[in-house]
Amino acid sequence: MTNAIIQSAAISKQFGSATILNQLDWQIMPGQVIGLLGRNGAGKSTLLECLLGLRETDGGSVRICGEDVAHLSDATRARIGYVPQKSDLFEWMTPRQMLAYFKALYPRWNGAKVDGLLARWGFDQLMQNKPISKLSGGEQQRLSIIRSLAHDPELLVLDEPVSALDPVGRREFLRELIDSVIERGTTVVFSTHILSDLERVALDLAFLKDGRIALQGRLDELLEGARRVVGPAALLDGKPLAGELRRQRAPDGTVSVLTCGGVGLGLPAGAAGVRVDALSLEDLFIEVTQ
Amino acid sequence: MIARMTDYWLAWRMALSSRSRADMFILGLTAFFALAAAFIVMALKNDPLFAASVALRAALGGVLMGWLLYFVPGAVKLNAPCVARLVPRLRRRLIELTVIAWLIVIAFATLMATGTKLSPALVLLATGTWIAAYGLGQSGHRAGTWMQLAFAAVFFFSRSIPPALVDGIQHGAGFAIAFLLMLAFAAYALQYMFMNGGERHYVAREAQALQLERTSVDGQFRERKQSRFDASLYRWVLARDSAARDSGRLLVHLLGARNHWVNRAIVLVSILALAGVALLVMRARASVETQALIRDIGWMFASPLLLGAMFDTEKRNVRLKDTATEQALMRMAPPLPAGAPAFNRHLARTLLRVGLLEWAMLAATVLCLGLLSGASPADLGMQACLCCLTLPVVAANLRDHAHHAGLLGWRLLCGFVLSVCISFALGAAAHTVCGLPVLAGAALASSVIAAALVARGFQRAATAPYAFPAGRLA
Repeated sequence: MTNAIIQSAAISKQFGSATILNQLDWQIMPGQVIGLLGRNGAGKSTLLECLLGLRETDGGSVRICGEDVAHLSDATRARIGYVPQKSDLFEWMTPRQMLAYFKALYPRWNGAKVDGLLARWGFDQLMQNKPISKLSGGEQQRLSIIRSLAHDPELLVLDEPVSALDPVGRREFLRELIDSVIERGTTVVFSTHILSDLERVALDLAFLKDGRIALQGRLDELLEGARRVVGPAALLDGKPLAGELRRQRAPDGTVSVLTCGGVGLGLPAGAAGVRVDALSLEDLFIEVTQ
Repeated sequence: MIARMTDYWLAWRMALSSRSRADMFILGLTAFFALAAAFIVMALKNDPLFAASVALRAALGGVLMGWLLYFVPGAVKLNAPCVARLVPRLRRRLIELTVIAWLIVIAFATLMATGTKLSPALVLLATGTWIAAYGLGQSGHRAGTWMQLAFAAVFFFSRSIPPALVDGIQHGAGFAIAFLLMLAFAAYALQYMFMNGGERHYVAREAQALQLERTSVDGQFRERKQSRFDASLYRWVLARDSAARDSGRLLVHLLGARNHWVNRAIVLVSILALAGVALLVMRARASVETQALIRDIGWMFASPLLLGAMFDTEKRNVRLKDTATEQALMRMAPPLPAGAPAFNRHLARTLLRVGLLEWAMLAATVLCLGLLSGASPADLGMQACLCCLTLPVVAANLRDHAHHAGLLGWRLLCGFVLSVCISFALGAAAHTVCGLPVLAGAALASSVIAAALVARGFQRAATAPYAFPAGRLA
């Protein structure tokens, strides 16, 4: 028995013949801030939806705060905030109406926080009384984020929350996330493609590939420990390196090995012609998800 | 010349590409049947020339219908502000194609009218103006829609138009002035349909989108804009329901502003007011024969309103499909019951309550109109029985929404017809056994069928997966 806030075991999900999640095990501990990375169509949204019980899994189990995700109690549901990928929600309402509507649905509602966020994120009176359908994509996304933060959730799940935001909007969102969400000890899981944002916020990274979490770890450790070793096949073939994740042979005969977190690489002494490169987050993303 | 023809072909294909293959198939089939029917009917009269002439008219009708229903909306949609400004020649070619087709249609219509009782001059003016009004209406300009309604009114009350006026616009200076007015109106319609970018075009585009994109890619009707009055009333209801914190009432708002029952109430009250006043005026001022006619069969004309129950049910089904992401948020909200069976039953109760309320409002409107037409108590009783026949439709919202979302379409229609047939069969049986009037027996049977369907719906709700987000397992 762990005290993980989200605990998934061997979850599988298929759409037709395509396997999206393949016996995926994942635990998220309270207070963790995890950035979920994966290529387009890797199944990030599906994974988040399965974790919240919004989609049925074909196999495996998911528990949130120790409760089966299919039967979450009112108290647990009140502790979850969710920003879906699609942001043009409740478009027939105005922002004011939509927030009042959700206020009626949640037992706890931080009105001061909502007003503060609305003011800081440029929602003047005129905009607050405009139908949501008339707001720009970025404004709709900001509103969606405000709604998800309004009941002070202890678990915040964000599905590409900044994809429609401009750099200023992204910076404001990240500041808010750091100052009043992460600082409060909220558990945050968010998927994104904007790696620079992740470097600013996420403490942990998880890479989704082939329906599994291919790599997970603390951001600084991953960046410190990730190496690309390139050398002649004669030297590297048949010699597994410490922390090896992936091995590839180039058409010119050289071998490229991705390693992460291995103590020493276990290279042959004085290996001539072997190059060891440190990796940026972008390199790591490409290497892991390729 | 070849390059120009290639351009036309390309523009034609692009304008039609927004229509689905099914639309084209239906259009082709309609034209074929119209043509075949004309041939068969006329061949029976043994007058090949006349048959060919009718076939030609039918074909012209088909082409005109295709052009109006498919090309014009497609062309207007294609002429987006960026396309109008940036794509070489396209806007010009679309205008030329529209003008050529317009000229051909009015020329043919005029030729067809020659030698018949219709005045070719009037046919020319009417066809030219009506098509221009149609184009304007398709571009989201209200004047176009009003013009088409005015045309219908002129058609119905054509005998009331002073003959001198009709005669005046057929000949000489009167015709010349009317012709120039028609050209000016057509030119205005054309420039509105195919604007050349700029701020005005962007503003008009919103109205065009509302007019032309009533359905989404998968054929579902889009949520339309509310009037200011409807919006203010909805605002009040939403604020009241939010203050009450009743999860059932809040759930109803997921259907959107246009499909909230309060919106339906406004529509029905408007119908009741307009039709009621018209009925009272007719009963007071019409001839004795007309008054008797209204009293005897007037109530029947209100009955088609009952089909609204079917449309309302379908709209709810569609909205439940369209708001899947909103439903994800609703499902996470604490006051809604946890666990699929409890949640589904709660949703089913809410949908049933809304369905019954809207059905009751429809039935009340129909009965009020019957009452205003002066129908006898026996006729009103029959009308109440007809209302009961539509009751089973309400149960069509109680589905396994996770697996089945969106329109029921033909299945709902067939189900309704089947329910009516069974009800009448049972009504006839009851009449034979205990002398109960057939219609009353059928109404009773329909009520029992509705109750059985509702019970089945609730049973299914208990075993079905979480209803929200709808359609995720489809």
